[in-house]
Amino acid sequence: MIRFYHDSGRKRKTEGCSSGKAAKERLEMVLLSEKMQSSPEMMIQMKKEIREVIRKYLNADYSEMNIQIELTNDVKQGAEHVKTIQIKRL
Amino acid sequence: MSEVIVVTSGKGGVGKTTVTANLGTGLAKLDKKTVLVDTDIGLRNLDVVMGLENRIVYNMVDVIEGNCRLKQALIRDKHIPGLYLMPAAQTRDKSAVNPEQMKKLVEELEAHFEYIILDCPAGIEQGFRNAVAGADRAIVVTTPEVSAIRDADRIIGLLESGGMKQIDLLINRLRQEMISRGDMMSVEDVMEILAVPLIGAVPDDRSIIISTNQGEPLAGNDSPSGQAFFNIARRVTGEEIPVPDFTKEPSFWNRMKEFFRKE
Repeated sequence: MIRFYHDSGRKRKTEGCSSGKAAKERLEMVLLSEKMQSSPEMMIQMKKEIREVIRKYLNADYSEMNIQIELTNDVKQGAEHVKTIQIKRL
Repeated sequence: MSEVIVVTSGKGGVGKTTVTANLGTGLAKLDKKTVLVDTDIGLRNLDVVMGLENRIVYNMVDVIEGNCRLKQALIRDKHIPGLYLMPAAQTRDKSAVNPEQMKKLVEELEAHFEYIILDCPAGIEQGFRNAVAGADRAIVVTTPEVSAIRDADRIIGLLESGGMKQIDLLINRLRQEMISRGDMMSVEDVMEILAVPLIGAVPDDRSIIISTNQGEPLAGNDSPSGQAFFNIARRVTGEEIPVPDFTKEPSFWNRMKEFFRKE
């Protein structure tokens, strides 16, 4: 299952200090792109386009929107390939 | 009923052999008759970590090729009763053994031991396939570094597609002070990425280097890693022991200990 969600407004903490968090984000990106058989650049492009689509149809300023894509094995919600878009405004 | 556990990682140098030696020591201290099998043919190391390098006469390949009987290749541990080592051949390579032969060897060992721990070579080639062939469950060793975690993820994928019944994660060389500073991935971070159950977390501890130098595994002694390894052995036998939380700010007491250790 692929889950898209964002937490707008929340400042990204990776800039600056915490190298552990940077490591985790880089790893997640590389493992995800390997599993989806896509390159990290294509994942970044995909995020960009998802952001554009949400901006186009949801008529809101999500300029600080942070989109995360993750693969999960959680099939509790039904079919294995359901895509859920969770939008949470802070 | 015996259990066959393969200790594997993908990446080299994350502590597979140290984990194997200490898990075996811990299990034997829990009165479980245990044999450690070094499957790293051509690059054997478990013998020196166990301090048994001077006692090797026959090895695993000799047993498989029928040059000796099973018991002739088993080396009894210096200190702990019920702990044995089956060394790898040093002058051969991985192609000397195939998965079927390994399965047969493991089946023979099952008649004599409660736990059979297979120390897997690094990589995903024949040595890995041999080691994994006879195992009921796997312990995947990683450190909180990007390269080790990436390889662990690959190994977990290979084990799952090969039908491994149980896969547990062991995170080695954690540094609490770096995690609290945000400069090292925490146990939770690694678990989120790898999504397999955690069997234990071992702190980076200078006493492990001393123990390896001396050829005496430290599971069960009072060092932080000795305790962590002993708890892992107990979890392997089915005991439920919580894994300590390495993400918490170190307590005042631990900060003091850390302070004095630096002196």
